This record gives sequence, C-alpha cells and structure tokens, in this order.
Amino acid sequence: MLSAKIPDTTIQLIAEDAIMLRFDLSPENAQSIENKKSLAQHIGLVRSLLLDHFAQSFVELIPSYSSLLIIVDFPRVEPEIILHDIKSLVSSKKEALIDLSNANTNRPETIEIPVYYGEEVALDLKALSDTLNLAPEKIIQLHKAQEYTVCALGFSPGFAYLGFVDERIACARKSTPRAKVAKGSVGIADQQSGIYPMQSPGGWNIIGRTNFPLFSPSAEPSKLCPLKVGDRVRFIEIDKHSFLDQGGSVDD
Amino acid sequence: MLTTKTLAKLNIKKAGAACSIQDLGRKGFQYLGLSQGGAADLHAYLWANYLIENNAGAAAFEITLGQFAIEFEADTEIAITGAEANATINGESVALWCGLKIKAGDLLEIKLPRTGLLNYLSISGGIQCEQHFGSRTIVAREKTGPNGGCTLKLGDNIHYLARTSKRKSTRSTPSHYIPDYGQSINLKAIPTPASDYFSASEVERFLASSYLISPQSNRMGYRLKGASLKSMSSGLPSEGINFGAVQVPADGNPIILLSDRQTLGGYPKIASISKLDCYQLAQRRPGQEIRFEEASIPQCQNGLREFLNFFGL
Repeated sequence: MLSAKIPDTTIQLIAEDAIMLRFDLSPENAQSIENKKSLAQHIGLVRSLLLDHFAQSFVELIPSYSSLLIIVDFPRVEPEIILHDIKSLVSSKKEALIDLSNANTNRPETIEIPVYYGEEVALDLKALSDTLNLAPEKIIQLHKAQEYTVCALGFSPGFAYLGFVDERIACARKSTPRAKVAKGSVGIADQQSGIYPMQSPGGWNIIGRTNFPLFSPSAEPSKLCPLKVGDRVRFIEIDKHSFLDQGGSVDD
Repeated sequence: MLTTKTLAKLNIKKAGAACSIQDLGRKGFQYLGLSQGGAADLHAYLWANYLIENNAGAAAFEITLGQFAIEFEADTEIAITGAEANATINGESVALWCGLKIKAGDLLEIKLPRTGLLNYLSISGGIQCEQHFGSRTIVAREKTGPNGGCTLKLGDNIHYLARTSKRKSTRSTPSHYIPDYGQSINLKAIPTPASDYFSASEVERFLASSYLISPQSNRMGYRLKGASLKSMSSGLPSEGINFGAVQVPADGNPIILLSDRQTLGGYPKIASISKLDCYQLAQRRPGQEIRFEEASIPQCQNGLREFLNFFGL
C-alpha cells in the first residue's frame, strides 16, 4: 500500500521539448520494497492518465522506477502551456491515483511467466548457491514465491526490470558479463529479476529460461511487449518437457 | 503496399565505413526500450529531402566517412548534403547541397570527406523499404529496423521509385546555411534544474571547460575528454534520457546522448544540449574541440521552432 503520505511530484521542463516528472517518497517511506513497487504501479497509472488526457500532444512517455519523462510534440504543442496543464491534472487526480494504486479493483492482472530452472539453463545457480550459502532448490523457491512489479522497461527492447527479489537471493551482477546470454534467460542482479528478450551480452546471474515472448518485433504496436511499467509478474516453474513443448530451447 | 508502385533497384558498389537508412526516427516506442534512432544530423538530412521536394521524413542514406558508390537502375533525382566531400556521377564532379538528375545506369561516388563525418543521400520519393515501428531507421546497435537491423554492405540492393521528374528547376541550399564542420563548436547547454547531483561550482566548471571528442563516439553518444566532473551522487534510479542529455558516469567524463541512445540511464545528468547544436555535433570527428555556453530553454526553443517550421515539421 502506498503510504498515506502522497509522493512528492516535481514536474519540470528540462529541454526544448522534454518534461521530467519525479516522484519522491519521503525518506522514511523510500526504503520499503512495498512502497517502491506501489510507486511503480502509481507511475504506470499516471502515465495512462496523461495518455488518455493529452494523447496527441505527447510523442513519448517513458516511465521508470520513480520518474516519467515526457517528450512533447514541439513546436505544434508549446511545452510551457502543457506543463501547466499536466501539473493541474496530476494534482487534481492525486487522491484518486493513490486510491487506485491501493485498491484491488482496477488492479492489472498478474502475468504468469513459465520458467524452466533446469541445470542446463540455470548457468549461475550453482555459483549463487555457493555465494549465498543457500541450496539451489531454496533459491528457486524464493525466486518463484515472490510477486514482482515491472519497475522499468529499457536496456534493450522489452527488457523488464522486475522489483524486487527476496533479499536472501539478492546478488551483484557478474564481474565479467557473458558475451552471449541466450534469449529468454531469467536472471537476478542486485535486488531485481529480469528476462533477456533477445540474445545479447549480459551480466545478470542466470537461473532459468522461459519461452514467454517479451518482445515480438513484427507484432502490431499494442502487442510488441506484454509487460508494461506497473504490471505484476509471477514466475511459474515448469519441467523440461513442458518447456520444450512450448518451443523453448536449451541450446546456448 | 509496394505492389502498386514501379520500383527500381540501386546496387551498392561500396558501402564505406558505415551506411544505413535513416529518417525522422521512431515516435512513441521508447517506453518499451526501443531507441529513437533517426538521422543523426537532422539539419543536413532535412535539407537533402527539401532540395528534391521530398516529404520531410522520406528515408535517405546516412553515409559515414564517404567511400561510397552506388549504381542506379532507373532515372531519378537525388541530393547529397552533409560532410565536405568530392562526389562524382560517372566520374564527373557534381556539387553537394543541390538537386541532381540521375539517368539509368549512372554510377554515383562519394569520396572520403575533408571535414564533417556524415553525408545524406536523398532519392526522389524516398528509399522504399518496409517500416519497423513506424520508421525506416536502422538502429544497428539494437539490430532493429529494415535490412535485418544491419548496416548496408557491398552487393545490397535497395529499392526506390522509378518515375520521371516533371520539375524543370533544381533547388540549392544558400551558402550561408551550409555549415563549416571543421570549425570547433560551442554547444548551447541547458543546465539540469535544481540539481541535487552537481554543485553550482561544478556546473560552472563544466560550462567554462573545453573538451575534446574521444574516439568512443558514435550514433549512441559522444564521449568527451577534459575536465573531469564530480557528481555529489554515485548513481540514481534509471530514468528516461532525452536527446541531447549530458550524462556523467563514474569516470567523470561527460557523454552527450544522441539518436541511438538507450532509453534509460542511471548516471547523473548535468545538462541538456540544444537539439540544433546536437545535429552539428554529430558531424564532428574525434579530436575536435568542444566548448559549452549556458543557454535558456526559450532561446533553444526559438531556434528549433524556426528550423522545424522551415521544413514543415
């Protein structure tokens, strides 16, 4: 639940056509994982609200963790004027947005992502087990027990930063990233989990693999990425047979 | 739909250091982590289309460091803008920054530029290829866009419209609009408002210092070497990055983020560079000098508004 203390929102023009919204939790609320997740959901809702209201005036609305960057359709739209309108809207809807974030109605459904945690794809599980002093089965159990919130999409198209893993399995990125991480690899870095939508270099600790499509480049715009900032995610363990059946591959 | 138009091929004989297809870039996809892409020097790109009365956003070639040659299958009209380079059609010198007539079978060459980095080659009607995310930009870093997200190479065939131009006159860019890319550049910088990340004196130091462009500079961003900047914070939660944002990573060397930048970043930002100045920056080479001058948002908006209005955007 977002605390009754409404996040302070600063809204500023930072370039010719760019408006940055920053949402700051008060220091006593900022550390809580639950508050950080709620904040991501809140930002997702603010984004939807602004999109509904101002649609054609904006070129981009980029949400992330505790901010929302808006690129205005300049010079057709004058940023100073719309800045004023954004401030009015956000402040008038503040209470409603907090209620929405907290309420169970209007909650987006939790997206379930099937994961195969087998040894042949869980490339860093053994090393993590040694570092964290936890059995591999325990790491998997803690990973899939959590409900995650999409805090940001970036780094590469469709790459979702999922907050937050159980602190017992939080671990730093690998000091030497892999030159190649297989598409669909599920990993942990610091306090977050993430999935590589395509094969790429990467430094996250890999503990499983999914065939769930995170980025479908030839799909129509609304179906490009199934995950959006504010969405809830759960990992569901599946066996090798099911994974291969779904089209998964255990190759490098 | 391409089937209703008659298409002609052009064949790439030399692809130079890097050659890609560019236009105005993608709009509305950064929230998914897709780069904006688009022509790095929007000024020269828009002129290239304007000179042959193309739509402002028609896809064109972006050629890095010349050494480029193509053969046309059918008549058309073209224009070459950007870096100061010798260009020839069938061995005969032709001028840059003006419309040029092409006949079937013509061989166009663009040599290594003396100053500047990028040339734009526009073709009447624009390059015909499929759009990805509403744009024909190739973002090689992401491997997204037409041509499998790859830069063009020897032997590649690119399509354009086979049609004859009815225009009698050709346009050319007045010389006072043609930039001198060899000159060192002063970039207008809008300091980040109310910064918790940089002290006032550090911002002053940034604005007063001179920098050199490092070799680690490309379409993603230009890294600068010079006075190392100290942030009061080691990192912040990743946030969206606007075109022209100046990030300062742990090593203190500022980076100016451009067309192929990643959508999110966690390094503190000290300023944003005027977009018009970023287009000029994209023509500078490693080793060239950069200085900054503080500018206001309205000042930068005035210049940008005038520029975009001229090209109908």
